[in-house]
Formats: sequence, structure tokens, C-alpha cells
Amino acid sequence: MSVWRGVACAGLAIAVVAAVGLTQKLPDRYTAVLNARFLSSRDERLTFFFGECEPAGYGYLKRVLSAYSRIESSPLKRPIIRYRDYNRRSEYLFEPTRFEADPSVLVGVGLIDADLEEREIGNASRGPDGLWRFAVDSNFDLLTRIEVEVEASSAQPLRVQLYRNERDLAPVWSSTANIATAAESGSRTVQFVATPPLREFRSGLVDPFVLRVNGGLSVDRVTAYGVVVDMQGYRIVHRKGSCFTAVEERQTNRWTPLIRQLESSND
Amino acid sequence: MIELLRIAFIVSVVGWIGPFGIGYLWAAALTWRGQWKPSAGMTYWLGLISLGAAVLFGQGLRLPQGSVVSLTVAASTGGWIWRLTRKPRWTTAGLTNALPLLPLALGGVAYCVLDPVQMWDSYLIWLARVRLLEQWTPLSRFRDLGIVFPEYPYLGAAAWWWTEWAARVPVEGGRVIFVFAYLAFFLALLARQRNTRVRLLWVFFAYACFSLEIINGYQDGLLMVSTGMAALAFMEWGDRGAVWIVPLAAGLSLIKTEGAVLSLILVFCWFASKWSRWPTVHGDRLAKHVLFAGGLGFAVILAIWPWLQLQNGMDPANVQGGELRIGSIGIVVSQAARFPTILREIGRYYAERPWISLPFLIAVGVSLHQREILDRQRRFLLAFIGLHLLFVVTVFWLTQLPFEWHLGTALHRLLLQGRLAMVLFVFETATLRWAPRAHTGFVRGPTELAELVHAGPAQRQRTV
Repeated sequence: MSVWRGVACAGLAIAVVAAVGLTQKLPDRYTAVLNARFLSSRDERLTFFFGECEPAGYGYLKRVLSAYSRIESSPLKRPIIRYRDYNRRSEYLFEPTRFEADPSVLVGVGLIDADLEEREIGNASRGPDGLWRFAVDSNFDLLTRIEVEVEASSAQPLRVQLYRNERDLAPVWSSTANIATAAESGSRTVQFVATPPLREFRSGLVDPFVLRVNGGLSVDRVTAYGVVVDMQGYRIVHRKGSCFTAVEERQTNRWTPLIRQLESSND
Repeated sequence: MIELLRIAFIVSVVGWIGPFGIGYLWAAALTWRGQWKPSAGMTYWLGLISLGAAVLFGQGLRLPQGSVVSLTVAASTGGWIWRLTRKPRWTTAGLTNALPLLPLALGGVAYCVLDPVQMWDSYLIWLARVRLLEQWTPLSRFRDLGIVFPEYPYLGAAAWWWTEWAARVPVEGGRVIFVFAYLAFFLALLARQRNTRVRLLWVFFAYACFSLEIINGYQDGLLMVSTGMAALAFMEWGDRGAVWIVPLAAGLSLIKTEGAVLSLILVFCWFASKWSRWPTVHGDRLAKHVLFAGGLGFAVILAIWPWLQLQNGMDPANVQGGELRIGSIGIVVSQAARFPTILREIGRYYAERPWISLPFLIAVGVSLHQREILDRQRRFLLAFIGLHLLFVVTVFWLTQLPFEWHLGTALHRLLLQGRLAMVLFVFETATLRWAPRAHTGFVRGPTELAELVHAGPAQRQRTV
């Protein structure tokens, strides 16, 4: 027994040494552990980890949800919550968790103006099979257009077909453009505009999109453009840093009390 | 600060009481059936798995929340009454055994109550289920609510919900059950032997194998512990326990989808580790009945989650979001070029974790060095580890998700699931090498002790 007590003490000593060693490697995430306020309040901890606005907008969402719940009678409904990169599902932080998204109110978290307008998604890269691929590692509401740079020497049609991934047999979108005869041969930029734009363009995993460009022309570059958060039909009614609240334009009257409450909480 | 201590205390007590109570029902049943009583660690795990399964079934079958809670409380109370009416067996030795794990337990509980949550998809799969259980949302609505992978089972999240709900604490506190489940494995392992050198190894592995991903709410940690516990149960109770261990192993399929494959591998490896027994089963009525009942229970438990999915309008064929849905045989052949990358990444994984890979390789070397037929326990473990590795390689060979991305995000989690089986193998080897039979003091049931056969002065061959 005494031997085992010795082993137990040795184990404790090892554990203490390991704990001291580990504190050297603790990520920044835990540096606040020694802060008394952090230890005493769950709210402080949630604000510390998820931020007032970024990265997950805990503080701002708390304000909006408090005001929203005074108007919306269902305890399960919540505004749509949008982020710049991917869905962080901050609603799970709140109790009761409101799972049912109400599209009449939209809360943006960590979004800048450029995220609400058309911007470049990225350049596609050409594979050995002649297909163009572009990976989108964050969510985009809309694909608005594809820009193709070709070396054109004669007038001929150019066709673009977009596939969700390698496995899909049917394109989700295709478009054809006629390249007019140019006075001089050379590099030409052709715009393929999606009308209407492709909705819910990227909201899942990172399978690369595949583009097939037909027309017998030499393609130099393919660039995709889109919008991170589609604000069509919404009006921004409140901003705080890079967080905002928007309401559907046709329901502005319904949400007037929400707007007032958010404005009054600005202090 | 005092509030935090209060939460930690309450949730720890609740995280103990519920599973232990139900676990004692298992102990009572096993004692009644004349089988060896499980150790405290095994009792806790049996109770935890049963509790989670009860909540999952109850919710999946659309029973009222109050009924499920009442049944769980009644079962736990019954177990405690059985336990308290028996002579207490807490000893100084038992408490001293647990002492080296105390810092890990305290640190783990502190983490669970302090760190609210991590906002990224894989973790949120399970948090979403805890939140849905709070509202007792029918399984049929999971798909409508936009949660990640609605088709995943959620036994661990159900036990997590029970703990946070019963303790009335913030959701993150309920994760203490994952700390206790991890510690329970090492306590159950310790109950197998009393050799000092092996116990030093035990303390080392308890700390070395630990990582936050085991207790942060992620279910791979619970699956790892449960796989280790199921393997341990096979080793402790042997073929006579098949009637309950085989269905219990199928319970892994209720923790995570890949648990179904792990349970199949476990059961296959256990019975395949003693092929010579099969011809004798035919003439042994008792063995036939045990195997039939165990096999039937296995099939029933394995079918429960797909059946619940069908009942609630989900597609059981949509495994892991369809990642392994293969369009043609040509894809399978063309993806064979992935093998070198997969093997390189597995090699890298183990190279970065020498504290498990080196002892394991040494144990394999020592085991095979003498060119003797290994005992059944080590044959079983070695076969399991090999087939699990094959399973991991197959997943990445066939995956239809972007290969590099999938490999980078999932390989370490899949390999984690087999880690405690490697620890078991090291322990079995170390015990046989370092503990001559006279000093070993294995705590085994009467049937197992009768099965020990000598094969040399310091070597034992165990046959069943």
C-alpha cells in the first residue's frame, strides 16, 4: 500500500508539473481565466469569447434578441443571422434557442459594406482536363456574373456552363455570348451576367465549382463575382460597428418598436 | 467565483448520480446472473450509455419529456437503492487509486463550466441537439430547422442534455460527463491489475491520452472511450458475456455514425480471435443460446437508429451527408492514387504523438518477438486496431468530399477513436511482461480465472 501511496504522490507531482508546463502553451483564448470578472459572470465569458460584434456578435445579438422577443410572441422565432464567412450559429448561445428563422428581420455580424455589394469571389484555375475550377471557402448568397478573358481572332459564340461540383452531370447555369469581330485580334473580356443572380450560391462545404468554357477560343482567365449577403428588399435600421439590423422594407411599420428600442440602447 | 464553484459542484454531483444509479442496475443484473460485478469505472460507463440511449429512444419515439425523465429518475433511484442496501466497498486503497486522476478531473470540470462553447460547425452538431432536447423537439423536425447533419445520432448529446437539465446549469456544464467517462475508462483499466510498474504506466497514459477535444462536447472522445470500454468488457467477461456485451457494442452506433462500423469490427475481432471455438459451439446448447441472443440484440440495437430515422421522415441511406455515395466503380479505381497521401498523413499523425505510437510499437515488437501465439486478448486488440486503421484508410479512399479538406479535418478525429484500444494493447503486454503471475493479482471473475493456462514461467496464455 505504501508503494502505491508513493505512486499516487508521484502522479500528483507529475500532474502539477504538467499543469505548469501546459500554462506556457495555453492559447490566448484562456488568458482571461485569471480575470475575476471573467470568472464571476457567464455573460462576461460569452462576451469575451464571442465578442460584442466580432467574431460571433454575442453582445449585439443579445440586444437585438431582447428587443425582438418583446414584439415577436413565438419563443422559437429569431431573426436571420448572417456572418461574413460561414454560419456560426450564435443563436445556440441563447436560451431558449430560437431555431425558427424569421426572414422579416436580418442581423448582420462582422459585415462591412463591401460584403453587401458585388465583389470578386475568386479566379478559377484550369485543370489538365481543360475544365476551370474555383473553390469558395465562405458563404455567398449570390453569384452575379462570370468574367472570361479570351484571345479572340474571329467572331464566334462562347458558352459557359457552371456545375456545383465535379459529380454533377447537369449544369446549374449556362450562358452564351457572341464575340463580335474585332478590328484587331487580341485579348477580350466577356461578361456572362446571371439574370437573375444564382441564389444561395455557396452555403455548404468546400467542393470546388466547375466551369466548362466552350467555343474553341484560348481562355486566359476566368473570374467569378458575387454578393456575400443579399440585402435586396431589406433596409438597414440600426448599426453598431460591423454589426447591423435590417428589416424587410414591406414590414418596416411592424418593426418600428424594435428600431426605437435598438436606438435607445445605443448608449 | 462562488457561483462558478456552485455550478461545478452541482453539475459534477448530478453527472455522477444519474449514470451511477443506472450503472448499478447493470451491476445488480450481472450479479444476479452469476457474472462478475463490474468495476466502478465500468459501472459508470454502462450507466452513462444506458441513460443516453434511454433519452434518445424516448425522444425518438415521441414519448413525453416528463415520462422519459420519470423513467430515468426511477431507474437511477432503483440502482442507488440496490447499491446502498449492499455493504459499502469504498476503501482507502480505492480512493488512493483515484487520487492521481484528481488534478485531471478538477481541470476538466473547470474547463467544462468555464469555456462556454466553440463556434464551429462540427462542435455545433452536438450542441444543437442538446438545445433541441431542451425543447423536446420531435426528431421529425430536425431537418426543417437547418441544423448541421440532422441525420447524425446523438446518444452523447442526450446524456449531456440530461446532466445540464437535471443540474439546472448553463449548457456547457453538462459536458462534465465526458470528463468522467474518460476517467472511468482508466479506473476500469486500473481495476484489472495491481502491479506498481503497470500503474505508473497507467498514470502516464491517463494524462498523455487526454486532450480538450475529448471533453469539449465533440462526440469522437466519447466514441473513443466507449470503444475502449466495449473492448475492455469483452476482455473481462469473455464469451459468456456475449449476450449483453455484443448488443452493448452496437450502442456505439447511437453515438456517431461510424460507431456502427466500430461495433462490427469489435464483435468480429472478438469472435475471430478464437476461430477454434466455433466447431464446439455447434454442440454446446448454452453457447448457441448466448450467441443467438447476443447476435439478435446486436442486430436490433444496430437497426434502431435507421428505424427511428425512417419513422421520422429521414433517409437512413444518407450516411454522413452522402460523403461515401459512389457513382461508379471507375471513381473507386481512380481514387486509389490517394493511398500514398493517406498513409503519409497517418504516419505523420502518429509521428507527432510518440507517447502512444512508441509504446504501442514496442508492445507489438515485444509481443511478436517470441514467435508464440498471442493470447486471445491481444489477438483481439491487434486485429481491432488493424481493421480500424483499414476502415480509416477506406473512408478517405472513397470519400466524395474534397479529399485534402476531408483528410485535414477528419483524419485525427477518426484515429482518435481507436486510441484507447492501443492503450489496452500496451497494458496487456506490459502486464504480461512485468507481472509474474504470483504478484499480478488480476481482478477477474471466477470463470475467467479458471481459464488461465500457463505457458511458461513468466508468460501466460489465456484461452477461452
